Amino acid sequence: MLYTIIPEEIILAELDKVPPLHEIAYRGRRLRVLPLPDGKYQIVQLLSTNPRDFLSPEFSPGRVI
Amino acid sequence: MVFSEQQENKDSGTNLEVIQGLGQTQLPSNESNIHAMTIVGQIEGHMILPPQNKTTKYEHIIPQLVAIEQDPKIQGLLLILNTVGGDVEAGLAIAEMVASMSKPAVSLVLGGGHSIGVPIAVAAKYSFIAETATMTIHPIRLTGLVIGVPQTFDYLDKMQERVVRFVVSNSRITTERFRELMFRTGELARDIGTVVVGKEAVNAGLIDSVGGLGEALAKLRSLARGEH
Repeated sequence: MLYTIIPEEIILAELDKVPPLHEIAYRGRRLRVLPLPDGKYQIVQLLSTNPRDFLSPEFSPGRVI
Repeated sequence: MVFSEQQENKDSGTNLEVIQGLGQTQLPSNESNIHAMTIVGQIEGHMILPPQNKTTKYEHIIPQLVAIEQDPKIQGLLLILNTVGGDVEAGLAIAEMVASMSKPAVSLVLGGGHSIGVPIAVAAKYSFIAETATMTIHPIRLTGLVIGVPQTFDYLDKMQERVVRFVVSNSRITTERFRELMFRTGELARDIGTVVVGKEAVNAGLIDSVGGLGEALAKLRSLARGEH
């Protein structure tokens, strides 16, 4: 449920454009990634139980690997 | 792009990707005993939002808070907010985590800390708001777009109650005053509620002080030294 000043119809306008995500192994961690047209991946989510991994820019969402 | 250019731009490129993906920039790498966390755009929770939204992903923020809490080298957290709100439960989760940290946290509202941003702002031990920053306090709305969510009036009321209770128990505002701001009519053009700007948020008892980066860091350092 959303609690925001932005109208929901604006937030969800391109809901059909949410692309499917892949799960890959990268440097010993599992990552949920978005495949890019050039064959690289953009990190969406880091799946790790080590909290320190989440402070590392290496696994930060948005990074292209 | 030419290969050599790519090499040159590698560092700034990584930064840009991080800004796009998480809305966060990397701090310069000289060791800091304070961590800065930015909560910007929409707070993304149970569903992945379409790509036109700028989002803060709570599933990344939560373990970062765990890391900050348990790392002996980190002495405090500066929470910088410029958010339009977002997922209720993700926002409350972040707020609860910040409120229950043993290390000092100071929040700074810049630009805006609206809707679910309000409980996150008050969750810190001490909160600042920039003079020009605004906070919108309004009821959780009934919207028909998300199908399959049990959005009965009762459910909305319970959700809203969680927000009210959290804000009241983590700031100086009273339940009556917060409700009055939330349900006031005639202030917002298309909704009921109130927008408080800078000092008004302090006068309402929501935020502790008007201030900026300097004040927020100074407060965080003094809290980290055990002063109040």
